[in-house]
Parts: sequence; C-alpha cells; structure tokens
Amino acid sequence: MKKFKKSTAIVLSVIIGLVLVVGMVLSFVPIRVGAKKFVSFSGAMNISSDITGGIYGEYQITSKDPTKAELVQSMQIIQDVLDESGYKNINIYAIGKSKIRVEVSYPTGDDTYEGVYSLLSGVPAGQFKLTSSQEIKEDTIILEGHKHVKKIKVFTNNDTKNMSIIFNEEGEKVYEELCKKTSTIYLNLGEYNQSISVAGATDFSQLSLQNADWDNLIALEQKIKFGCMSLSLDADTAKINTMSARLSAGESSSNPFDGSFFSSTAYVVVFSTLAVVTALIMVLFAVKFGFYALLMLATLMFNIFAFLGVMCIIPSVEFGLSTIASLTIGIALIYTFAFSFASEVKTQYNLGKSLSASLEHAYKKQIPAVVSSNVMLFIASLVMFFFAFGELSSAVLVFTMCAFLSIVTNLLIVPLFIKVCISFDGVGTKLFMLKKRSAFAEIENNKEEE
Amino acid sequence: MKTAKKYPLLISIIVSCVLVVTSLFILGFFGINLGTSLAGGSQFEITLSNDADTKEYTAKVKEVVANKGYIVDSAFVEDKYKAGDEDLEFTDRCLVVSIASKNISADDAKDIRNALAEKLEIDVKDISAIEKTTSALKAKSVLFLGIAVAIIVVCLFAFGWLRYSIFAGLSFILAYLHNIILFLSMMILTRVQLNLISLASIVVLTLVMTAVLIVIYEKYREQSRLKTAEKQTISQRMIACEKTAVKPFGIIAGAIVVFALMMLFAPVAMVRFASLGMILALLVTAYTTLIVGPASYVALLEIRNDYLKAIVSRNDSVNKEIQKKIKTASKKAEEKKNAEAKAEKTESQEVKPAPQKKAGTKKTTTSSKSKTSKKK
Repeated sequence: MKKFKKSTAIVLSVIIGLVLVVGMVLSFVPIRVGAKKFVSFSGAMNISSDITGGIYGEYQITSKDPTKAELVQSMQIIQDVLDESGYKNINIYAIGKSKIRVEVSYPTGDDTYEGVYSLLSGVPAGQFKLTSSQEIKEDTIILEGHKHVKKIKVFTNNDTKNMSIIFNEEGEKVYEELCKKTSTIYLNLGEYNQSISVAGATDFSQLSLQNADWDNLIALEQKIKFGCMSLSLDADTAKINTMSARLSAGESSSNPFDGSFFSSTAYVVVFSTLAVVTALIMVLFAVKFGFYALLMLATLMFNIFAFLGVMCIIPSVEFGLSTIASLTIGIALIYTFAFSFASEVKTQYNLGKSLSASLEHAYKKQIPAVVSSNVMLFIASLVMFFFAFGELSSAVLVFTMCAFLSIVTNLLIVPLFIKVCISFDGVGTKLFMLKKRSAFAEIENNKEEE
Repeated sequence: MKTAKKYPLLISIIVSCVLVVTSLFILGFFGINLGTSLAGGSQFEITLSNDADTKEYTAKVKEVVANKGYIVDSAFVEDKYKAGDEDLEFTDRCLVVSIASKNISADDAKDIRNALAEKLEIDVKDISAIEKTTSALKAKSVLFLGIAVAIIVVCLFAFGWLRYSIFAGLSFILAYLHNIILFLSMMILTRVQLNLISLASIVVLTLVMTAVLIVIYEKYREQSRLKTAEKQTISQRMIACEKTAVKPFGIIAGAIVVFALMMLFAPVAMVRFASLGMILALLVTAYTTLIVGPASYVALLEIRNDYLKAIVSRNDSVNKEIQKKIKTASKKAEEKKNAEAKAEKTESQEVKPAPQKKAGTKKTTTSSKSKTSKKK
C-alpha cells in the first residue's frame, strides 16, 4: 500500500473531513432555506406503526356472510393499491367477518396526514360495474369488477394518459355482449357514474379510457381497483384516525401532538440497542487496535450518511423491529471484515514484514473473501427482497444495502483512509497498536524495503 | 494435537434428523405457534374514559387475560372518529387489545370480559366482543418465499461450483436448507411464537451463514495451494481454516446476543417472543455454520478421494503405469542409497570414525527414507 505525498494527504483529509461533516448535517439537521424547509435524512425515515404512532382505517363489511377467500381477496387488493402508493409495510387484517382494518405508519417527509387520510377514505369506493343501462333493470347486462376484471394498468402513449381495464375470459364475453347491445355503457362506482361510448369497439379483451390529467387518472385507477373487491365496505361508517404504537403496553398516546405518540418502549429499546451495539463494536476496535477505532468511526459516519441518503430515495422502506434487527446485523457484518483486515495486518507485522507490506498483504488477502461473500449476500438478499412480503421485504432490503456498503467500506473507504493516515509520519504503527519489534526484525525490514 | 479433531458429521446428522422428525410429530399434534402478524389472533376493544391511565389499564388487562391462560400480544390506544363528514365527530377513545390465540372459547371470552369489567371497574358494555382476526398473509406469499429460497439455493450452488468445486456447491445447498428447516423445527419444539421478526432474523442469519461459509471455503482454497497442505488431511485443513475464518464473525453473534437480550426487557410479549426466536436462530445458524456446512464439504471431498483411489486400484492400465513409476522410483532410491553409502564410507576413511550414536541415527534415517520411497 503506497503512501500519498504529505501535501496530497493533507488535502485529502480536509476533503474527507468536509464530506463527513456535511454528511452528518444532512443526515440529522433539518435545514431551512428561505421559505423552503429541507427535512434531514433521518427525519424523512419512515418508522413503522409497530414502534411509533400510526394511522388506521376501519371499515365495516356490508356483504352478507363473507367467505375467507373473499376476505383475503379484498385485503390483497387494499394491500396492492397501498403498496403501489408507497406504503409497503401496512398491517391489514379482518376482525371477525364484520370489519377490515388497515394500519399504516404516520407520514414523514413530504407526505402529509391529509394525503394518507384521502387514500384510506377512498378504500370503500363501492363496487365497480359496467352496465348496459343507467338504471339496473331485468335485462341489464352487468360486468362486475371482482368477477370479470383481470388487470388494470395506466400508461402514457404519445402525450395521452391512458388506462386499460383488461378482462378475463368470462369478462371478454360479457363485454362483447355489452358492446353489441348498446353503443353507450355506464361505469358505476358507488356514487361515481360515467357514460362511455363503445360504438365500433372491436377489441373485447379490454376497455381503454383516457384522461388529460395524470393525477385524476391515477385516482380513478385506485377507485376501480378498490371497486374490484369481492366485499363491499360501508363508506359512511368508516373510521380513520391516529393510533398509538402497536407494540406498546398502553404507555403511548394516540394524539400526534403528544410527545409519546412518536415513541414507545419498543422504539426506545430498539434504537438504543442499535446505538449500544455500534458503540460496543467501536470499543472493541479501540481495545484491540487503538487509533484504528477513530478510522472506523469515520467510516461509520460515512456509512450512516450513505445509508440514510439511499433510504430517502427508497421511500417504501419502513423501520420496524425486524428492519432494525437486520440493520444491526448488517452493521456488524461491515465491521467484521474491517476487524478481520486489522487482525491480518497485525499478524503480518508480527511475522516481520514492514507496515506497508503488511497492509498490502492483508488487503490483497481479504479481497476475494470480501468480494465473493458480500456479492453473494447482495444477490441473495436482493432475490429475497423481490419475493418477500411486508416487513420482511424491508428487513431484507436494508440487509442488501449493508452488503453493498460492506464492499464499498472494506475495499475503498477503509484503504483510502488508511493510506491518508500512514502518509503522516509515525501514525502507521499507532493506528493498529503495533508493538516495536527486535532490532533483527527491523534490519530485515529495512532490507526488504530497500 | 487439536487439528487432529474430526467433524462429528454422523452425530450432527442424527441430531438434526431426530429434531426434525420429533418436530414433525409435534406439528401433527399441536401445530406451530404462529404470531398474530402471520396467522391472526383475537382482538377486543375497551372504551376508555378521558382520564383513564392506559398503562395501568394495560397491566390489569394482561393480568386478567394471563389468568385465563392466554397471552396479550400487544395493546394500543386509538381514538375513534366518524369519517366521511366534513367535520369529524369524536366518538370514543379505546384500548385495543390483541391476543395471540385464535381459539378462545365462548365461555373463556365471557369470563375474560366479566373479569375485566370487575377489575377495571367499568361496565361490561364498554368491552367489545372478543373477535378473531384474520391475517392478510396468503398461501401465495409463502409460495413466493419458497421460490426465493429455491432461487437463492440455485445461485449458491452455481457460485460454489464455479468458485470452489461441485462439492462446495452441494454443501451450500445442504447448509442453507438445513438452517431453515432446523430453525422451524426448533420453533415447533420449543413452542416459541413464530412471528415476522423471528422470520426476518432467520432469513438474514441464513444469508450471513452463507457469507461465513464462503470466507471459510476461501481460506481453505488458499491453504490447499500451499505445500504444507499436503501434510494435513482435508478435515484437519478445514478445521484449521474454520478456526481463523470464523473468529471475526463473533462480532455479528455478539451484536445479535446484545439485541436479543435488550429486547427481552420490552414490556410487549410479541417482542419478547421475537427475542427468543432470534436467539434460537443464532444457535441454529452457529451449529450449521460450524459443523454441518464445512463437515458436509469435507465428507463429500473425502468420498471423492476414496472413489478416485478405488478407480485407480481397479483399473489395470492405470495400475501398470503406477507399477512402472514405483519401479523407477525404487531404482532411483536404491541408487541414491548406494551413493550415500559410498559417500559415508569415503567420509569415514578420510576424516575420522563417527561416534556410534550418530552413525546409528544416520542409518535409521536412510532406512526410513528408503522405506518411504518404496512406499511411494
């Protein structure tokens, strides 16, 4: 491992210091520029409704004697629509056969309570139907969402915003009958009604709708999807409000203006454990390798900044108990390789090699292990993320991020920081708590260096 | 010598099989203890007065429910408003209690409600009926998880095969599946509640296990290239590599232990169950990483070596070649021996007679050399 020139090392250490300071500020301090307010990375983190207060929607089922299959189908549709709207880790379940309950985390960052409220209040949209007449009579042909719709997709084509309602085999037949009977069909969705001209329709596999406004089209898509639920939910008796942390023991409040709304014992335990584990790892480094712990602290600051920054880009990740457990294991993973590297440097130095040779040898030796194990972890956890559900997918995504950070930290950041450090006289041996060796070893060392 | 130890593969296979079979029996009779996040449970609401101390209420609810033999999974407060109108109308403030059991009999439910009303000094009407909750988890989600495991297993096998050998690939598959199956068996045997948190722990820990195995096999690969490796058996080499490679991973184990121990202090049953699940996951993963994974790789490599030896001894053409090689080797050894004897003679004639002891040792060494060359 070659040293930098002293001047280069000074410039680099100033740049690294600046990046870390700016990173920490962006991570933890909200900034106000004029009228605009930028939330810190940590402030924009989504915390699961398990450990802090959240919002719930409780809907009364009006369908008579619903089956389990109907309950599960309806809950799946709600979950899918909320998933697409960025609420990945929602808690959804049926209470008896009379209610469906949805719990989502309290919005952070740019999301607002009103946004979540309007989304949840749209759930009991009414059943989606396409009919041949405005009023339902005996001879009215009815295409029903939960029976005949296969898929709904929205897309843009040459500046037009489109939505396709794709029918299943039975749906195609009903739609064909509808089109043959009348040139105007009616879209029924609770209180929402719209007439659609189908004159000259030849493709009976789907119904295409257009809208000039993208937001309106998305809202309609959501409504139609909710309308495809097998069960009908009562909009008038729907209850939507805040709730305290689910994993609390009555100590948290349901009032968002109360401090205990955003906290719970589980929240305190989990975040303090994360801090304790990280601190213990740093203490271990300090005891074993001395100043190397400071270097690790710098890499930790870099990792926090990078991690929180990426988590802001991926808004679907929610920090619940399992996500933080996986983050703890991920942090330990990153520093396991850093520990292994420092141990190898010490071993090589004790064998009589020079510091730079020891560093070079340890670095080369660790590359295959770091690359192969972390790349494999990255791929495996990414696969798991695509197939996992709910909280599990968040936990695995966080671990994927840690595997990536482990590669970056151990192959790029740590060597860079070490190179900068050893460029200053006398820092190298102090960095790893290396003891002075015998005169013979020093002579051998000098020979080797010559 | 410590490195002379062998992997207790047979014992570990027996132990794992016994645990899995026993758990299957228990699964047949009692099923698996699934948490509310996976299988639903029961839930009821208590309407609170505005000045009610929710913490005290929760403690009393837990006590009453526990007296009936059930566990309160979580308890949280919520306000009830009527939605849909422009002005929201506040209706109630409730304590929602979730119980980790679906099978609460009607009599038990009635008793719990009456006991609660008495303990909390409220009207029974303020306590809602205890209703079953159904989780949204579908068979499809479990199937998808299975597909993910299958894809990961294929990836691991391909990686192991390309990087090390087909046997490493096979050992990856074995270790990965072993870890998941044994964890589920342990959850069934210990009756610890399986919830999403413990499921996430085992998923992540199984991934960590593959990382540790990769580091061990990487070290083994590196050591096998050294000349000193010829003196060691496969098992000895693997144990030596495992010892050095596994040490730093103690940091991960320590982190999990600290996390699990801290979670034990949380006042919520579900969190405590998750902590126990994490500890079980750690134990199972350590067992698979330290014994099952490397031991299966060693066993497969040894079987391969034995198989090759057997082929060599059965194949006549190969035997003839080997006999030729042995003959030339023994000739060379004899020539060497003669040359050494000559040199010894000239040495003793030119300088002075060597002491008896040394001569003796020299003789023995030369004889042992010739023996080894003959063996070769």
